[in-house]
Amino acid sequence: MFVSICTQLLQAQNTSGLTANSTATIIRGLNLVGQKDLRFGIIIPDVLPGTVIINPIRARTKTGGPYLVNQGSSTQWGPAQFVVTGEPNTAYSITLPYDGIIIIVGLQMMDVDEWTSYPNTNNSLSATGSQTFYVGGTLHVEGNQPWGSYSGAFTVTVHY
Amino acid sequence: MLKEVIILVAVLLVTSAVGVAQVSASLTANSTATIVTGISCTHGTNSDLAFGTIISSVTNSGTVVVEPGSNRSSTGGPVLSGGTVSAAQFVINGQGNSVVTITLPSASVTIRSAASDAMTVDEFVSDGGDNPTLNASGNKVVSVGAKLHVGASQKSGSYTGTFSVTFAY
Repeated sequence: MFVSICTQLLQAQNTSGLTANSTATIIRGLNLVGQKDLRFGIIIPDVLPGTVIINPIRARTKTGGPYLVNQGSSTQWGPAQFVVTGEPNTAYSITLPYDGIIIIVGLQMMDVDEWTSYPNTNNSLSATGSQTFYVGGTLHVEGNQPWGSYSGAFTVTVHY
Repeated sequence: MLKEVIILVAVLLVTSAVGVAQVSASLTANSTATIVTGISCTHGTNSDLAFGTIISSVTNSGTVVVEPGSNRSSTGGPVLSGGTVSAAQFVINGQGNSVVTITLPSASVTIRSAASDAMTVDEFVSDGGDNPTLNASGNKVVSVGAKLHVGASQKSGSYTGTFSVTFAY
């Protein structure tokens, strides 16, 4: 903050001054931490292709051929989970990947796209300066997709 | 006379615990999926659960048990009398080294003769336990036995029926 004070001459009025303010606001920078991966879980392929969809409010559905396997642990599938921190009570927005990505094992690959997030409108950091948000997507499973543990990476950005 | 002009200049240095303040932040996260071979099963060498030939007692009911290892024994009135005896065999095929769940019939199964006389079969048991593990090639043979309830003066005949066993990841 830059403060200037000009003294006022009482006698001669060939100058006059005024006290004005100069301001700046400092806010905390944004930080993003990942807590969970986008996990499509265990899937049995069919001769027919199809998709497996992870909804960011935690649902898993499929279309077409593939079969979903639910086994034991409830953490086997689910949306990616992120925590964004920064200035309390401040709005921010999320940028999801523009394109799809591939997840691979060896030479085999599957596409992941149609990214979704929740919450995704009027995102705002809380009074303590944080918010948790979730990212889902659609996995494209080909007919007779070879078995294996596929993985890949995607980038999420948050900004004021 | 000019009064002295005092100018105060204050400069704030901004420091953040994480270094440079950021207008945006990016993170690269992972996405994963596991594709597994579908599970299937076929009959093994002995597809039937066979209790063999049994002579029923006129006055005493009883039971005949075939164990997963195909040993046969009886209690009460029935007398064992040869015939083909075997546990039912199932060959499971699926993802190598995976654990599967076996679901045997929880209720009794009825087997009937051509004349519709009935006996019940229950207490199904497998030699794989509740959660057998497939080998590295994704195979496992599971044998299933059960207990047959024979009535007193059970009518003669060839009794047959069906039962289902489910294997799942």
